[in-house]
Amino acid sequence: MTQSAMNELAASSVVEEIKKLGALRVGMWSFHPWAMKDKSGKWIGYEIDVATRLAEDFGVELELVPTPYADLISELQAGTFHVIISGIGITPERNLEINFSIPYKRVGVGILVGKQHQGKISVIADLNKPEIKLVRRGAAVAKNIWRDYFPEAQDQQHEDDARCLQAVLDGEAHAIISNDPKPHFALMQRPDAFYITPDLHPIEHYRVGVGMRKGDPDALNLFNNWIDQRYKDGWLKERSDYWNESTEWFDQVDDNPFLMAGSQN
Amino acid sequence: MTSDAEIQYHASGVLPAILDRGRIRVGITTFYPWAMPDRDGTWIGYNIDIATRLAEDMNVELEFVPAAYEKLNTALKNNRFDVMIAGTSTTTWRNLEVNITTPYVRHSVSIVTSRKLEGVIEATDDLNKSDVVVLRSGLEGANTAKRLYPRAQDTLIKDDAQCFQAILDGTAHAFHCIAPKASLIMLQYPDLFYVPPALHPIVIQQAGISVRKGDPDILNYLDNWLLQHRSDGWLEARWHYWSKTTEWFDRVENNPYVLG
Repeated sequence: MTQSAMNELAASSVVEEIKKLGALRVGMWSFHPWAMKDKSGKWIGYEIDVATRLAEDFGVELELVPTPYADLISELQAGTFHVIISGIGITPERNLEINFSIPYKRVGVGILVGKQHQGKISVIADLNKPEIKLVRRGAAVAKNIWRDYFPEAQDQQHEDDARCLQAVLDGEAHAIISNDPKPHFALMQRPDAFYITPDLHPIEHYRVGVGMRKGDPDALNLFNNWIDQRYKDGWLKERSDYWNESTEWFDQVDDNPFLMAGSQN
Repeated sequence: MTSDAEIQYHASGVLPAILDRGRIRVGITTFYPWAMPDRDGTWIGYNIDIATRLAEDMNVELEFVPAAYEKLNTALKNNRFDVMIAGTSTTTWRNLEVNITTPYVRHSVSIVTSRKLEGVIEATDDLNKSDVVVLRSGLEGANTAKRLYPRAQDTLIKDDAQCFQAILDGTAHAFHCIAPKASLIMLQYPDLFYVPPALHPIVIQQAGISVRKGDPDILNYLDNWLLQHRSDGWLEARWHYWSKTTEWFDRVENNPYVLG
């Protein structure tokens, strides 16, 4: 029977699992403004919009399965949820473990500079000097940017974003290496304290895709076409702009890491 | 062939089956100008060009298997044909049932209205009124209608010629239609119809080739075949012929773009 191997592959697809269960189970973890709790404890954010719309278009319920970031891949492989929608960048290392859809979001990584240096720091070469101090949130964030572009500069690390921004405000560091949308929100609130230049922001992009178990061509096809459709009709951009370019949602959350002390907001 | 090799062979799906048979069976459905009979009863149209070129490039015979639009998915799943080249829009509901390649056409959905309503119907707000009748001839426009002009009287008439006639008679205000209908009716009757620039397009859709699930090899083959003919300009040239010229009008009877 020529169809049997194909049928088996199709039957074992997570697409059939989702249809049978009548629910899409999504592995995710808290990460502003991608997935965060609002004041009433409800999940909101860009990823939540993506997951919600996916479930809606599939005609199934959505089940969010919060899972610590470091465990997302192993829990996906263990079958705890169907897919990962959690802002994870598509990297060759991860792709050896799981499959990725085409990207549903492109994230800029770049430099936000302290205002007092305007005119003196505007291109990469201005920052790649031993006397320059660059700050990042933790060792993992934008490590390759520091290594590839600014190996001569001093590498500082702080626990959280607020502390990184403060270091630049206090003059302890010249600039921050950060992922979008942080530089954007900091600049919106404190144009008196920071600036960016076209050469320094963004320096690179990373791409975020839906993570899936390997050996499942049907799931890849379904998610890829969904993402392509939602690009073409403008929906992904509209949602991304809302969470990354506007402050409309700031009121909905406590502990907003993008809300700066001393800002007008 | 040993049984192990046989399993491996069959696991690679419909592609070796087509080559083995020396013939590809393509599911189609009547849909002007995508697939339609010419005066001799031979199938012609954009989908037909694609199927013909695909068979040529695969060096196999071509067999058309016509099916009703609503039955296309089931017919594909029941192996009545190998692939479906039927101009069906890539939608999530279809994709839950079958796999779909990258698009072989990106086409617009536009609004056609009467020349008499130029200045009256120019934007979606002009459609979004309870006394406005908006026609569509396909099932897939329902969501767009609900999203963009929920208050209008959304009416399904499955015959393009009747839709165009209703616009001329004034029994309907607008016809929500998929490319290339708007372009073709305007080529033919620029004085009678009007396509508001702001509503051309209102949505972009795409159509891909559908295949059965569980078959990664045919997807890979077709995606790369489409990439090749996107790159060499062949797909665009054929789409231009069927969607932007009236050269083929003489070849068919019952052309919905030629009104009685």
